[in-house]
Amino acid sequence: MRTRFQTIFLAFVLFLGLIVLRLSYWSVVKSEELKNAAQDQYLSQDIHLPKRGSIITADQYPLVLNQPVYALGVYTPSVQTSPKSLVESVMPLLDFSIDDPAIATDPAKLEPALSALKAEATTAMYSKLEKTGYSVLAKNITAPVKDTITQLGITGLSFDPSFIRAYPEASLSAHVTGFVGRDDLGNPRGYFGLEGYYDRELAGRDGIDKQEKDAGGNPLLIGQYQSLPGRDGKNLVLHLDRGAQFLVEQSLAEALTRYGASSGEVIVMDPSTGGILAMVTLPTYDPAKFHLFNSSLYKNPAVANTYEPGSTFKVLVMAAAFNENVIKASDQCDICDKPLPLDKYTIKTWNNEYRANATPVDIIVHSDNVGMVWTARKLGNEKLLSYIKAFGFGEKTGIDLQEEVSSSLRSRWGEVDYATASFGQGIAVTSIQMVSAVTAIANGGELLEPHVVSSVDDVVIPRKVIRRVLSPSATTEITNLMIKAVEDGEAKWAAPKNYTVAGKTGTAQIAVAGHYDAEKTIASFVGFAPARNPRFVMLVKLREPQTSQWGSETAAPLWFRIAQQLLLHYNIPPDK
Amino acid sequence: MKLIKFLSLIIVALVLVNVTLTNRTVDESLYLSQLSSDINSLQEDNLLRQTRIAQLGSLPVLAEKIEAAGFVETPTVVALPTPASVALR
Repeated sequence: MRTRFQTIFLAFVLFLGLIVLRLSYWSVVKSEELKNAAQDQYLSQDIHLPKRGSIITADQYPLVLNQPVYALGVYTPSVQTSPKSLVESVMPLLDFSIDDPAIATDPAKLEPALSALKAEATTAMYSKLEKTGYSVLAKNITAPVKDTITQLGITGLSFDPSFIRAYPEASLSAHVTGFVGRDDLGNPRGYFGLEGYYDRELAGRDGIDKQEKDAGGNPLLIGQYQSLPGRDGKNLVLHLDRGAQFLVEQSLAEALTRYGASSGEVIVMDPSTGGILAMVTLPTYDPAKFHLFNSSLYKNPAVANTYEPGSTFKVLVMAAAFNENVIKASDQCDICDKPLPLDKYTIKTWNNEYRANATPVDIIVHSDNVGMVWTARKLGNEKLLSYIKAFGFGEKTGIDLQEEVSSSLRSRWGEVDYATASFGQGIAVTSIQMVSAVTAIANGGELLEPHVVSSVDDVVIPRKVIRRVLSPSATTEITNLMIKAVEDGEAKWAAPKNYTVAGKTGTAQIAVAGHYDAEKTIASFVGFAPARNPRFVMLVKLREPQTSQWGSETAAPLWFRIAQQLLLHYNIPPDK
Repeated sequence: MKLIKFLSLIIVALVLVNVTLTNRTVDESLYLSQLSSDINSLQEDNLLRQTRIAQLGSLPVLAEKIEAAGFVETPTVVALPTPASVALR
C-alpha cells in the first residue's frame, strides 16, 4: 500500500515537474516569440503613405504636385446588399476613358471600345464579389466619385487613399520634370529629369503606427503604442521661372511651324548662378500619360543628345586665343584670302567668300572658317585641346537631370581634326555643355555647374564654380566681338534695337551614315543679353529647318524674339 | 468583521473607479479616432484644393481665357530708351 502511494506520489511529482519545465520553456525560452505573436494579434498597424514632394517654380507655382485618389475596396462578409444591386449602383459612377488617341478621337470606335471596357470591368467586379474576404473593386477613384459612392450608404465598402502626380501646367516642362512610374515591385519611382535625379528626396518614407485597438477599431489609450515616424518627400524649388518657361515654349512651338523644323530646343541660363531659367524641347509628351507616347521622347535631348555645334563654337576658340594673348583685336589673318588646303581636304568659308587680312572681328562677324584655323594655329593644338576640355566638353556638366550624357572627346587628334574643331565640326557636344561654356564668357570667365533646382525644402543648393577658364579681360574682348557679330552679322536685321546683345549663329550639317547630309542642318544661335551686364545666356537650336537651312535666318530671329520677351519679362531697361 | 466590511467597501469602490475610468478612456478613444479621421479628411481636402487652384491658375488655362476675353498681342514692343530719360521728362 505504502509503495503504491509512493509510486503515485512520484508520478505526480514527475508530472508536476514536467509541467513546470514546460511552463518554464514557454515563459523563458519562447517568451519573446510569444510576446511578439500576441502583439501582432492585438496591435493594429497603420501604414501612412508619404506624400511625394512637389516641384515648384521660382515664382512659387507648382509644376508637379500630388492629387489624392482612392482604391475602392470591399469586404464581402459585411456587404448586406446583393452583388447585382451593388454593381448596378457603383458601376455608372466610375470613370472610364480610352487612352489610345487613335480610338479616343474617333467617335465610331470610341463608343464600342468604352462599352467593351465597361463590360469587362463589370464581369471582374461580379467575380470579386463572389469571393469571401477583401478585394479591390476599382482604382484611382477621384474624390467627387468617392463622395457619391459614400452617399449610397452601401455597407462593406472602403476607400484606401493614395496619390497620383498632377501636372497643372500640362506638358509645359515634361522634359525637365520627368515622370513617376512603377518599379519592379510596383512602388512609385521617378524616371528621367528631376523626378529621376531627385527620386530619393522626393519619395519620402512610410510612417508606421502600431496601437492596441478595440473590436471596433478604436485606439485604446491605455494600450501599447509604437510609432515609426514617416517623412513626406521634400519639395524642390527651381530656378526655372513659370512665366519665362511658358513664353519660351509658345515661341518655340510657333517657330517650329514657321520654319518647318522637326524639333527644337531652347535653354535659358542665369550666368551669375548657373540656374536654368527656362528649358524647353519640342516635341514633348504628357507626363501624366507618358505610356501613350513613344519612349524616345522621354529623354531630354538638351542633356541626352549630342550634336556638332558648328560656328557657335568659334567664340570659345577665339576666347581661348584672347586668354592666351596669342592674338590681339588688331591682328590680321594672313591665310584668309583663299581656301586653305589641308591634307587631302580643303577648308572653305560657308559662302565661299574670302577676306584678305581679316581681323578677329571680321572672322567672327563673317563666321570665317579659314580665319578660325588661323586662330587655332596661333593657339596651338595642345592649348586648343586643353581649352576644349576646360570649357567642360568631354565630361558631364553635372546638371541635376537624370539622363545627362557626355560624349567623350576623340582619343587621336590629327591636323584636320584640330582645324575642323576650331569651327565646331567633328566635335560632339550637348546643348547644356554649349550653354555652360558660353556662360563662362558671360560671367567673366567662370565655368559654373548648371542647376535646375535652387533648393530642396529649405536647403539651398550653393553656386558651384567648376573652374576659371578665362580672364575677365579676355571675356570683354570676345564679348565685343560677339556684339559686333549681332550688329553687323548675317542676322542683324532681326536684332533688338534697344538692347545690346552678344551672340553667334551656327549652322551644322548633320552626319548621316558617315558623311554630312547636304540638306539637313542644325541651325543654332547662342548668346547673352544685355551684353554688358547679362541677365541670361540662351541657346536656340532648330533641327532640319525647311524654310532656310541657315541659323542666321531661323534660329537667330527666334533667339531675338524670345530675348525681347524675356527682357520685358525680367523688367530690364533698354541699354542703348 | 469590521475589516471584512471595510475591504468589501474598498473593493466595490475600486470596481466603480475602474468602470468609470475605462468608460472615460473608451470615450476619449472614440474622440481620438474621430479626430484622426477628421485630420486625414482635411489634409486630403487641402490637397484637392491645392490641385484645383493650380489647375485653374495654370498659364495654358489662363492664356485660353485671356484670348477668349479678347486680348490680342501687340505686334510691336515699344521700349523707352532708358529709365533716366523717363525720369527727366
